[in-house]
Amino acid sequence: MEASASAPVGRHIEPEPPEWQPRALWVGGRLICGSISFFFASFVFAFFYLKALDLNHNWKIGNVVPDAGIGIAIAALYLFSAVVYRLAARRTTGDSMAAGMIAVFMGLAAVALQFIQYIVLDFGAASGGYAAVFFGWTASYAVVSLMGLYWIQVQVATLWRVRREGRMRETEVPTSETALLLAGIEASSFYWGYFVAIGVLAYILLYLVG
Amino acid sequence: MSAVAVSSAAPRTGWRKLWGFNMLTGILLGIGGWFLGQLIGNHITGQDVHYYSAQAGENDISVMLGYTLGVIGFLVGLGFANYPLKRLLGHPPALAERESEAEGVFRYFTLSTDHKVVAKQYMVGIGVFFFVAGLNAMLIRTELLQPNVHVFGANQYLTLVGMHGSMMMGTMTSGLLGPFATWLVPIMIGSRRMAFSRLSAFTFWVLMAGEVILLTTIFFGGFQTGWTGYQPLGAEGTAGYDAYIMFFALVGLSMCLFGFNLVVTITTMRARGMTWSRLPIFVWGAYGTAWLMMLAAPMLIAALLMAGMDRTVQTAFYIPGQGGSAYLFENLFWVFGHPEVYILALPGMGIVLELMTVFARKPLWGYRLAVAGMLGISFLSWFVWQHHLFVSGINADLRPFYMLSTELISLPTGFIFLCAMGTLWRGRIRFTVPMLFCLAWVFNFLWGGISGVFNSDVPSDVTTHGSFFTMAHFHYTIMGGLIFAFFAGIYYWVPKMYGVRLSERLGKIHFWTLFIAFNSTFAPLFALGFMGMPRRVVSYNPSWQGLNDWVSISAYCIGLSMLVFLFNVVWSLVVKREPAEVNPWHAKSIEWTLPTPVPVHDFDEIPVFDADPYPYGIEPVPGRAPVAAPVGGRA
Repeated sequence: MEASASAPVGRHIEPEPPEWQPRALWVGGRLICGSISFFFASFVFAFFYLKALDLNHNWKIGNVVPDAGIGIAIAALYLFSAVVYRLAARRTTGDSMAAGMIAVFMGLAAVALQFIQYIVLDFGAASGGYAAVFFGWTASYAVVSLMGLYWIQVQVATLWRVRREGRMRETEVPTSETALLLAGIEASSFYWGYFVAIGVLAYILLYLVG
Repeated sequence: MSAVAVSSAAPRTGWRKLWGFNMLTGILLGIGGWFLGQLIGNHITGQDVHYYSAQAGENDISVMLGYTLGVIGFLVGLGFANYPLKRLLGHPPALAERESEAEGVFRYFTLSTDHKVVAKQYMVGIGVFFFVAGLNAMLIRTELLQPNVHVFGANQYLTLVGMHGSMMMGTMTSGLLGPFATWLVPIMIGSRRMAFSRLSAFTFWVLMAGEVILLTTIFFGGFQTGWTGYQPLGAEGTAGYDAYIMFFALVGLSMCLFGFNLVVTITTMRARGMTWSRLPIFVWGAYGTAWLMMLAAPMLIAALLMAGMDRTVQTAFYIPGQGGSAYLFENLFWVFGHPEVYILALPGMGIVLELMTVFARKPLWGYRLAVAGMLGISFLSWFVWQHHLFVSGINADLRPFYMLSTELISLPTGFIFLCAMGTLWRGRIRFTVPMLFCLAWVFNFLWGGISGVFNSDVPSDVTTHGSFFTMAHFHYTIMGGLIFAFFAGIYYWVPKMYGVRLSERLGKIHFWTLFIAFNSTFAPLFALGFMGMPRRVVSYNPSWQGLNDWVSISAYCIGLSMLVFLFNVVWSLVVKREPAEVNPWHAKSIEWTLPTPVPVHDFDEIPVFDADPYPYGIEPVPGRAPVAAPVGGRA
């Protein structure tokens, strides 16, 4: 680890302990799951609140039934993406790179499929409480998932560059550089797995319970 | 891969600094983004609406897109897109950016990752909008000088009320943590930075973008909902309500990320020996608050997202006639909103207890009790939100639970008071300006807390709900609690942060005028509330004019006391610039052992802590430092 660029010339500045940043990533990966839980809990609350109220029987106005086939496909893509990446993250960095690319591809496909579903849906956003929750939850889920995919892509790109420059030493005790990289992969895979679990919950509520 | 800093480019000099990623570029790109968003919005809807004319409220999509792209442009102009793009291409992490002192004053107008720079940015930015919000309060009181409409009219009056409340609540969520926690927490725990230093800068600039957006509401017809943004008023509002949505969503984003950053920093970056039981009490206050910010703010963002979708893509979350419910917003808002109250109050408690040890020359009495109090408040604040809906037709069986849970919160709050009193007991108290503000905090917050019991109690709340009584209560807690702690922190830490001491004499004039005027303004509001004067109504019963005029004149006196403070700042920091002593208060916490000004890297060596944080009145053990002795720049 290098000293800060702002350190005075000729003066020894003790570097910060190398375990701090990987630990911050580990903890950060878990905490951000807490934040997104509360964000999506609002939609869960809205779902049950409006469904229970069913004001003027307007929970569903007309034939409000999303295509379960597309729903299953979206959920399956997300799930596959998360499982592949999480399993690979527990093994070698080589696996992580390939799995990361697959995860990003699958995740982007799921987002694309979500927007295709909006085009072919038989109901609009104004078709009652259910429709509001459906559009609100799925759209924000798709947008937030792009952030998770960005995080995974950063790991993939960093791995690719580090390997290309021959700086990865898998057989030795990890350097601070590789420790940081591994922490990033672990944190992002944990986050992505948790995020996808919320997506599965969304699928159950919106397609099976709703 | 380097985990720390690598900024190879030499800083630009002179006018060349205006080129590149800075606030000026950010503003230009922000304006460009606004017009681009408008263009796209108009194209999508097929409506060419010029909001600057009289057609406000007709195309929310273009307004929302304008704000969104405007904010993105602003952040790109500041340089926030550069690093994420580099990382996307596989470049290694670099934690520092524009930290060098060679960057000069321009560091303050761009993305800088130095936590001390960000803290100062917060202090000035928050100060500016605090004064704007305060000015709104003066205008409100001007309207209330007479019982009938005579200056602004009902809509403008309500917009003023909404802007005052929103700006105060939104700005001051970071009012204490922004400047003080960003500056102090890393140093107090022996770190040199926040865990995610770029995120720290991001939270500040996003907040500023939100503040400017709120000001633009006046071009779009304002909003008449007050700071709570209640539905269905919101759904019926003009495009001015879009500004409210965007403002509070950005505040929520800033809060959430700031809280996240603080929790990670305190959890993972404590130096050797800085155990949980040695954390300074201010850090505990910040920690408890940060959890609330991180978890409550996402619910606010979601609630506002739903409101935005109702206004743009025609969902019906809050539209009762189409399967929605206005109460959904009220519930989601207050799940965030009541923890928000403690987000405002907890850091103030931390500051007051921190400073009392210094000026009573005693260790903090009941350290563990104080920590339990802070964490207890954080925890319990999640279970009280329904007391805001006592008169909204909630199930009557739910009322006792929320009444009890709300009253229960007075227990951990009582712990804090007990610790404050225990610390003062038989202390050698020095009545410095920061200490005066701390003592005033005790007085004000006590009244705020006692009057809060009336609001938590169902029978009395049914009577006083929505009246000036409630308004007096929360001004006693929030202004009396937060603002007095804010000034205590300013007078106490500015000598270390800026290297210049504020005038003690002007500070005492500021304190006494503020303390007297504050109580003279808000105490009569309890009486007006009991008489039945409602909040957010521009006209009132003529028999209440005497008290209202008294309150208005007192409010102007608060304004004058703020001018004294402003004069003090300009006189001491700009004109006189008398260098502060390294440790003017003879404090024993670690920040005072650093040189003034504190170097960019804070410490040459990571400190090692081997004692409790408040060793006042305890003889030092020979050969052992009472607190960490940071090497590098000796005091």
